[in-house]
Amino acid sequence: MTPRPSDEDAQLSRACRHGDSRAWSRLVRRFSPQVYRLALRMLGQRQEAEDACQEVFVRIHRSFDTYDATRPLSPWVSRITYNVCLRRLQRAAARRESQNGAIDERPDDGTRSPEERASMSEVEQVLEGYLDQLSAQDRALLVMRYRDGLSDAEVAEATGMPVGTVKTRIFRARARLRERLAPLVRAET
Amino acid sequence: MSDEALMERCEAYLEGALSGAEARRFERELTLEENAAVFRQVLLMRQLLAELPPDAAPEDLVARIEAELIGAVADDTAKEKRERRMSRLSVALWGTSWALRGPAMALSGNATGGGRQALSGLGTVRYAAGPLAGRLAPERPRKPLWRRLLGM
Repeated sequence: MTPRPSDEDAQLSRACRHGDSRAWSRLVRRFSPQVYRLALRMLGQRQEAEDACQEVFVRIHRSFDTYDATRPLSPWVSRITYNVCLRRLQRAAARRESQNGAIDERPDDGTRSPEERASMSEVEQVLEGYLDQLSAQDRALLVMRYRDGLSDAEVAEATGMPVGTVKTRIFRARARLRERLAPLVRAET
Repeated sequence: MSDEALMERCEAYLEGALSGAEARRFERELTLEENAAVFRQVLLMRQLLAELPPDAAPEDLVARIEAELIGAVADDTAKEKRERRMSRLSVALWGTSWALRGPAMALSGNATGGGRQALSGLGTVRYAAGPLAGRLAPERPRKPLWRRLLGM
């Protein structure tokens, strides 16, 4: 079944199309957490994620005419974010290659501040450690599926992967995560 | 049932993808401690993933993006207005020139008629003005070149 846009999505997209600046402001407020989270998880650096976030909203604005108003906004926004982040990762990889494997000069500021890391529980640390080891694409799949609540079909639409591939990759990522969490869960119970 | 299969069933149960009968059967299976442990792991994993930080983008970033987009929207609106004005003006100019085309052709004396001009819809003006144009600028038949060279 094709997901339908909520009334809020429909209203918001209509107002944005009419050039209502308040609607654009609402759109930014509503989707910036989702965009920033996905960008941060994929890129792993705060500054890079902020730049990507800005680029995503500029692209949203430029390509709003291509948004199909009969579908929900969230997967469309995720798709743009995913593509922007993938391109940034590819550019960074090419840059590293051209520098013959030289270490990137930018500091790796990670997805959490040192204070946040210090206050994390053991389970959260395991999760963060595990996410760090996953590929950017797998991290994106987990974030879209579980954090942003997209369905498998919507994640497939956002990433351009077949639904079967999305399910398989999420299943594998989940199984490995569960293995890591198992001793902690047993210790807690 | 393998752990993977059980985990999948837990996922399906939590997402409401099981039918009523399947869900009841699954709930009975959960009374086994080993199944319940897997279910707890799945629940914990989902909960952790659902609460993955950050919950919000930095406020200064949001403000920056808002300002940039609002500026871009204002530019778009101004551009659209300008384009609409230009479009109206060009339609008016086009219409005026089209309306004057027939009389202009008729007065020029060189109007030769023909299907393309007649199709203009204003060709009728040329036909009506034709005799007048002929009087204003009578067209003399030109001599062939060899006659002109010989002065005949």
